[in-house]
Amino acid sequence: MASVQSESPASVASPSRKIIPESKTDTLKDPIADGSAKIKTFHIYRWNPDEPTSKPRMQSYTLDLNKTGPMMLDALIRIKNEIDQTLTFRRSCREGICGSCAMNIDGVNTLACLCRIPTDTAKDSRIYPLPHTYVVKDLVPDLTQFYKQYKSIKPYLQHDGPPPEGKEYRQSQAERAKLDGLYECILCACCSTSCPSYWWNSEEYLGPAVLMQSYRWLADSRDQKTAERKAMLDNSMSLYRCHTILNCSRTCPKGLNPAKAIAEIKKSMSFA
Amino acid sequence: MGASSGPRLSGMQKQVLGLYREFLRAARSKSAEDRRKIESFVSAEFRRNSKQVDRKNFIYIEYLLRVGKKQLAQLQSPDTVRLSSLDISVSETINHKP
Amino acid sequence: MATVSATSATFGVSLKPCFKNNQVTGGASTLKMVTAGWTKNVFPSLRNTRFIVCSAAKPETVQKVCEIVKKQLALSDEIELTPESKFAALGADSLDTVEIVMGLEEEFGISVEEESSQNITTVQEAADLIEKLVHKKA
Repeated sequence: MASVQSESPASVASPSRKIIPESKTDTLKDPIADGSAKIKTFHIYRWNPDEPTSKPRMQSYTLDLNKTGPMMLDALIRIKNEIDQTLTFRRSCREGICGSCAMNIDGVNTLACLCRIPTDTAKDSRIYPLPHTYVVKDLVPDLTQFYKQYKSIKPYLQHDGPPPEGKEYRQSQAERAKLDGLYECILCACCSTSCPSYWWNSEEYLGPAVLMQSYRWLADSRDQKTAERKAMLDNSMSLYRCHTILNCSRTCPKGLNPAKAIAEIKKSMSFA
Repeated sequence: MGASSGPRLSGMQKQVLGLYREFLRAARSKSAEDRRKIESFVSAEFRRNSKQVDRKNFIYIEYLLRVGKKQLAQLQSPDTVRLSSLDISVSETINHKP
Repeated sequence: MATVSATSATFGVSLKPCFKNNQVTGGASTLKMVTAGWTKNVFPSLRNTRFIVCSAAKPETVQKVCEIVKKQLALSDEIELTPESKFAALGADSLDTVEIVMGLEEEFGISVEEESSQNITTVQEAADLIEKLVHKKA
């Protein structure tokens, strides 16, 4: 597997954002750390558009892990509550179902709420926004383009006429089973923003997340617009910019396999 | 075009002027009263930024362009009749910094 | 016409009198001259456009443009506008220029493309473009 992501934080963060030097001098420290403290350092990407003259920078924080929850999101929330209220990030469900807290943690795109804080305090953690996204503020990415592309695949059931018995569109268990591994996607954009192909062609290439949802509707036995959906993908950019790099499947915090879904689309297009 | 004797504009300057045009265009579809308000608001906003923002601060200008495009999309909806800004005092947020 | 490129500068000189003609006589006769110019010129180059540009606009169009520019820039009545008046020299920045072009669009019921709108810097250039677009629409 051609892996672009690795343990090194530089691997994913670098193509989009310059590595910003971390200053050790202005580290903001845990206010309630005591003698038995287990101190870990976090370096977090900061940028505030309300200060037009300030450039993106890294801010360092230390936390006592004994006083912090186990997940990265716990660390972020503690920093915001107790050290620096200006730190900005999205979060909501804290259990991996809303997809709000997607970010690049120690070089891997993931959900902060599903990512354990590495207990090795000798190693610092580095948190960046999702790579190759425009930043709204600090760790908040601008997902306008991502949502626009999602809308473009018409992510809803298209069926002519009312259901046969007037209640609902029926499906066999086998037909329903085909949607497993597809419908669970929460559109956090971790996979799309880990894809080098998407980095370079995000205007035209739909990216793994949107393509997997496209396949979710192609695979749905109740949907009647399969031909139209396929026709929309039948150009050099929308689908075929996937070069099976497989970063998407490797990074997915929900353990899904967008690369396989894309392969299924390609297969169905070539044998259609 | 060579026939032009216009000033040489950078790509970003063209984008800003293009955005300004689209705002004025969107304002045309509103009622006379709303239109006048929108025009004066938009014009003031562009002029303020043209004076305040360093022309080499590309990160910030790009950011403003993105914000502007979103606001434009909202303004273009027939339901939108007004633009306004919320002025939050900056001093308060600064005081909260540790 | 200070910023006209070197190649067309010679043209510009010969055109000056023709332009003054335009101001004195009506639009119709000068328009004929323009078509003559067209057929003579073999090169479908920029000079062609320049040539048309320098003689096509009717005085009343120029007059109307002057009025709108004055209104848009809030100039006092004493300030005399000529077709060669540069917007920049009248104190207009690029945002003002956008406003002027938008004002002209509404006044003449035309739609100026973004690319050409950014090339307009004088009253004359504006008037010529308007004539061209009005003509195209008709």
